[in-house]
Amino acid sequence: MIILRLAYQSLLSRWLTCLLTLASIAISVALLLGIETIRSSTRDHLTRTISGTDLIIGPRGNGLTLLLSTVFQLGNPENSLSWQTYQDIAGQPEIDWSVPLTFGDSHHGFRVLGTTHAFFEHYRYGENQPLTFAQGQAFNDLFDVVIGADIASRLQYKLGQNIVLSHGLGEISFMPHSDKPFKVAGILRKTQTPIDRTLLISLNGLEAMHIDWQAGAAPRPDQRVSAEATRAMDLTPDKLSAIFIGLKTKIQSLSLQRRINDNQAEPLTAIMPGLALQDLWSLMGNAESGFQLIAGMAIIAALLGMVAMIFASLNERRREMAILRSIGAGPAQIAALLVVEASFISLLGSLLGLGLITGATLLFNSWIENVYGLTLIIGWPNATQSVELIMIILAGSLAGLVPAMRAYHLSLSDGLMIR
Amino acid sequence: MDAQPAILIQHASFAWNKQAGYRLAIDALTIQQGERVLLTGRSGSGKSTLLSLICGANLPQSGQVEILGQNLSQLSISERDHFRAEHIGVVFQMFNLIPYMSIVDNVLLPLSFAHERKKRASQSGSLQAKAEHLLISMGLEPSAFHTQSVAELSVGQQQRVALARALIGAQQIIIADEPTSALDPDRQEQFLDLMMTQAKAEGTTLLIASHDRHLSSRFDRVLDMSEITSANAEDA
Repeated sequence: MIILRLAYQSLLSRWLTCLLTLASIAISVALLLGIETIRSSTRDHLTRTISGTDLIIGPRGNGLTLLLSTVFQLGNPENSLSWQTYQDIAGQPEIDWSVPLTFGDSHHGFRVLGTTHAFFEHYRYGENQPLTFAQGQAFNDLFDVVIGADIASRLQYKLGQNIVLSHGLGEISFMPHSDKPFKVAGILRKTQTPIDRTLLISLNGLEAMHIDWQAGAAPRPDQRVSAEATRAMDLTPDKLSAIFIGLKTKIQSLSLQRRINDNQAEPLTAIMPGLALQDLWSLMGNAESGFQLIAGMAIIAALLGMVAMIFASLNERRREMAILRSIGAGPAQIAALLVVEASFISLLGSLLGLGLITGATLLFNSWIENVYGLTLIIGWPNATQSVELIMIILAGSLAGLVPAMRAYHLSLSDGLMIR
Repeated sequence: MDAQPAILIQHASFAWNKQAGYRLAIDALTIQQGERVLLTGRSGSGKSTLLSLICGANLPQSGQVEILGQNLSQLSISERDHFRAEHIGVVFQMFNLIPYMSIVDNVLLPLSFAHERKKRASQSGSLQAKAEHLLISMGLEPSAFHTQSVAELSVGQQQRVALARALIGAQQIIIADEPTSALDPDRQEQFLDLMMTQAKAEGTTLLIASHDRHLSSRFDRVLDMSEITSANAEDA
């Protein structure tokens, strides 16, 4: 007990150096824990984005690109596949359901997804959860739009409101489809997936918007077709960005995937979302390991700093040690004093780091969610983080053994002689 | 009074470094309980080394050191630390106090390392009160005990706190290494008076090392290092 009290009072008397050492440990601990928070949040975020879909089919290209563009709405879909191909694939006997998807437009930087009612019916996220409506319903009219929860809250949109979509995917578009505004028909419940930041319209609506466009350019005034006039026209699209597929039995995914990848009529790529997500994860995992390595180095540096601080104090504390020896403290107790000091600093530094990262998470959570669409997991440290914390505290205590051994020998050789 | 001598040294020899340098050799030295002894000798004559042998911080390489009938060579290092904590109070020349503890806590500190001593100290009331009583008998202002930091005390006051710490729990032996040489002459007299009074009242054995022979009149006995060390001591 007296050793604990001595350690505490001694550290308190050197509070400035201790505070600096504490800060360096706390910051490096926060760094390591933060990386783990981001890692586990990202993993959670990634894996819960899509479920229940057996295959994603797109034009021939990189599978990861297809996954990113369809599920995470990142990157521009460069190619498209034909409506005829979609019809062919949807007609295959193994297929239970299929959802056509078309990207290409946006609204204030949020992507517009052209699809069908099948999307609301079959899209699943998290643990097989379907999409549900907070207000309204799926699009029924040609110019109806369903918006994700984040869009509704961020742009303050309400049911029945008219909005104008823009051509292209940029945040600032110079080509608004102002002649054909859409009406908000439904607002989806929050899903913590990219759907929260998506506007959904019917394929026909998307086609109607572009019916008078020529090769990606806005129509000349004399060629314009009014919104009402499009209602009488054939609005079947001839191109799609991708297709989501559900199979009758999962076992068939592999053979169908191979068949689609070998498709002769049109070059296609089929991916299994689960496997593709794992690929994506392992790709990101490499970067994470790199960050973790850096954070680990930072912690080693901080602990070395602490050892250096204790070492530096040894010489000026030889007198203190002689006094302690003279009143009956043994060399082992003096060594224990230093180990306790090191443990105390590591413990406090780790707790401070935990507090720091928790505070930062709470503070920046909504900002990170807005900018990166990533919801951080807030709460008690997870298993990895707990292990990390315990390891750091143990490492700190062990590091304390180095100056402690030095002090042991010093106090043995000094005895009661004050130097 | 117990018949055991407080300090008994026979044929003891000790060298800090076995290859070369100084070697201390003492044929026989006996100090009875309750004796107040001044240990003089020029600097470098081995006073401090002798004191560290008596305190059990170091063991003689040959011969034996007995304190209150206990042969220190028979004790392990931690047993010797514990023995010192229970029976011996030590006062150094200066800087006796732990700077980050309060005055009262400094006085009470040794009791945390010595169970029996703590019991002895707490026989007549609370430890806190005991420490304060000792400090007051040293002529220190009670108002300063808790508020003033140790570093704010004068050297003389620090020495008195150190003496109170050595005395608490009725230690049988007080060892002091040049306890007055950092004080000015007036203070030296005062501090010595204080030590003597306390030692007499408690029947404490007092062994004080000093190069200053002027102090000798107050002591029962004066030992000069040149008298107690063997003739062959310094040629090794």
